[in-house]
Amino acid sequence: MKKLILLWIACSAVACKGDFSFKGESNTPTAGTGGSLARFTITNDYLYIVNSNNLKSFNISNPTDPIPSGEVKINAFAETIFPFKNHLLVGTRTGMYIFGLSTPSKPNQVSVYQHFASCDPVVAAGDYAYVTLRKGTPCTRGQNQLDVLNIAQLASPQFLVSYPMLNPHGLGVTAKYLFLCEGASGFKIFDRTNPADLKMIDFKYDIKSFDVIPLEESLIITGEDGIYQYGFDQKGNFELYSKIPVSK
Amino acid sequence: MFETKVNQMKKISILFILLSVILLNACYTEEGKDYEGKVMGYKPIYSSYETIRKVSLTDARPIRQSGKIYVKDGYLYVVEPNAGIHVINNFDQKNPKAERFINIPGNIDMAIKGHIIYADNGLDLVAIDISDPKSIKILKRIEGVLPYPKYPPYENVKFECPDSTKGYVVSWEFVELENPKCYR
Repeated sequence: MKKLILLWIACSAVACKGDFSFKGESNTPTAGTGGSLARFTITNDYLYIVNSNNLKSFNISNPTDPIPSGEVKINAFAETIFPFKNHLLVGTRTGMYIFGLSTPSKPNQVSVYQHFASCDPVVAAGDYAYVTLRKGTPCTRGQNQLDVLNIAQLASPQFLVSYPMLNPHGLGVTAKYLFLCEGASGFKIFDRTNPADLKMIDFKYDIKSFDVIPLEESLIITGEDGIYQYGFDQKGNFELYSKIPVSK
Repeated sequence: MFETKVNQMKKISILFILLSVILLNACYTEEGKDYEGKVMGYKPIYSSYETIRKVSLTDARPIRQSGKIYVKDGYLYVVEPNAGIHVINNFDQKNPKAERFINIPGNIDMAIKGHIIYADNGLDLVAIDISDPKSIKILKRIEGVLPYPKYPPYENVKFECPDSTKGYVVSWEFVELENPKCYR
């Protein structure tokens, strides 16, 4: 009986928490956060979807009634989309395309950073964009590397430096760190205080990682055999919080 | 003595002819790619367009494959490619709890605004109300805005070219194929 009462109290507390956050968002609905390999993203009142050669927009100013609002052709094979400073950074097999959102329903291409054919997601923070290039069959001439670009001027991205990698997939940034998924080879953590001189502070060989979502002081990593969550501080301490198993 | 030499010559000739045939054959497959016979490759598994559109809410179940991930308000959403979305209570990251599974055939990606999930469901985009943990509501379906799957999610493989008249490709099986025409 005691246990039941405790359970009831615990449940009520959780329900309360849920209600609270829900009330908070009901006035101005907000969007969540995806990984770097996302093809869907929401900024302001629009949902954007990239698929091979096009970028589609849907007006969701009324979230319950999405309305197709436009389509823009991309002169490349688009694979990922990342919202940044009222722009969209689109990772394609031949480079990073930057679209402006002055007309949100019809994003306009403002610049492109081209490279040898590779598969690449892109993320950005502050004045810098991080692009991974991965060797794979649809992109046979590619190489495995991380490119750092200065995008202080979004209309003219400047190549800064590149670092050789093993098998890079998704990546993520916080103010201090850069996280990079190396596929079957593991998961890398860099200090990006100086983006022109990244310092690797950890390489977790045992996490076969595909993509990552960095939160304020924690990480969610998807891997072949599980979803790993880590807590971290600004001193470079990382602690495994949990692992949700993934298995066929 | 003489005979053995002839035999040896014969053997060498036969070997040479055989080698030439093999090499020529190799050249032919390299350039022509007309017929490769039986090889291992990927075969599309189809589902009817009606079946694909059946979106439902079920109990939490183990994750068989993790695809795209999304976080919002203490919840973690994990897409199981072509199957749907695992809804995980992640308020305590040290103890995440799988709560529900939204069965969405042909699902690969998603995003959320407020309490509405936007997800691809085969060729369609659906808006799903998830405010009630016990049931979901499809608020809108925008048909035919997403592309038909043209290839398996693997690289450097041979596969049977998908045929959209047979239905939507929900998965791929690795089997012996008779002269597959597609390669990626």
